[in-house]
Amino acid sequence: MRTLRLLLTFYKSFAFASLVVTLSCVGIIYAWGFDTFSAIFWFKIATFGLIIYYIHNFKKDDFSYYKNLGLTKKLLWISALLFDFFLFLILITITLQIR
Amino acid sequence: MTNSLEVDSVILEFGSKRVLQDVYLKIETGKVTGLLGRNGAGKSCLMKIMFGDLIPNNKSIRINGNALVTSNRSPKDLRYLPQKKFIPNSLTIKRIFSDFALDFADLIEIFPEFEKYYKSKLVNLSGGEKRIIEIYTILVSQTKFCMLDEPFSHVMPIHVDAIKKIILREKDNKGIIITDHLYKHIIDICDDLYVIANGKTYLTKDIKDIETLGYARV
Repeated sequence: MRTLRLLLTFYKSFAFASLVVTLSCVGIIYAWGFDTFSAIFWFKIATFGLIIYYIHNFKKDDFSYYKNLGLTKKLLWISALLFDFFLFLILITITLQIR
Repeated sequence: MTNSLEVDSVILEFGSKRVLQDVYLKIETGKVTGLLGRNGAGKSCLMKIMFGDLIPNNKSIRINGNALVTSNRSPKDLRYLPQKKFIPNSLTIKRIFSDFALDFADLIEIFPEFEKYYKSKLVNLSGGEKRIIEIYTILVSQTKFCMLDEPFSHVMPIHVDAIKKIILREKDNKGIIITDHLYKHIIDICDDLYVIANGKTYLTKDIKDIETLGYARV
């Protein structure tokens, strides 16, 4: 339970930016359809790179908090990015069904 | 139970510059180990190596004789207070104490002025107050060893005395290694004192050694 809470705290440190990207992608899919999926997929992946760059440069000291509680950088990133990508795919799927 | 943490065979190079080359440290339960050295001597690097945050060219780190091979560290074994602020500003004191399984009443007994901050986010505290919360969490939470990098810097003198009392209380349960340029406080509380000079660690036998090794005039 504590680990889950810590993972959520880490995810929240970039969740807003990531959600803005995801909602933009949802908007594009809604407007132009599945043909744009390949482009927005790579756009989403590219923003992961930007998020990792930002956190590693401007919030890198926070990693010591998680490490002192037993959570490695690898675990934090894999969990947070997988969750975010899963959310992205779900919202895209729902949007395509609504459209 | 007495635990021991030993570090040796450390080689750390940045390009062609060798920072650490002949290091031996032993930290034990019941002892405060002081680590002094000039700026750039490699004190913080050595702590980062021990915590697995910095990969050196070579190292041997052992807890009770068992080598720590990867960069992963269990909080049950080792906790680390870095020189820089490390607790995310968005967290409340209540949340931090819950994460580290700490008793807020104990903090209030030592620092009564913190009572009003229980539900406050860390961002609302001053720099010195944040540092006290950080020091307390690392120092008091359950672990075999804790490493404190510059715990006295940015903390007012009355709080430095309180922190020294906590260190002396906590050393019964864990091994503590501490470095700070406010070296008189370190000398006051440490049982063993090492000085890093020219990439090597020297276990001092006499207080005058720190002058001989070029760190301070005693």
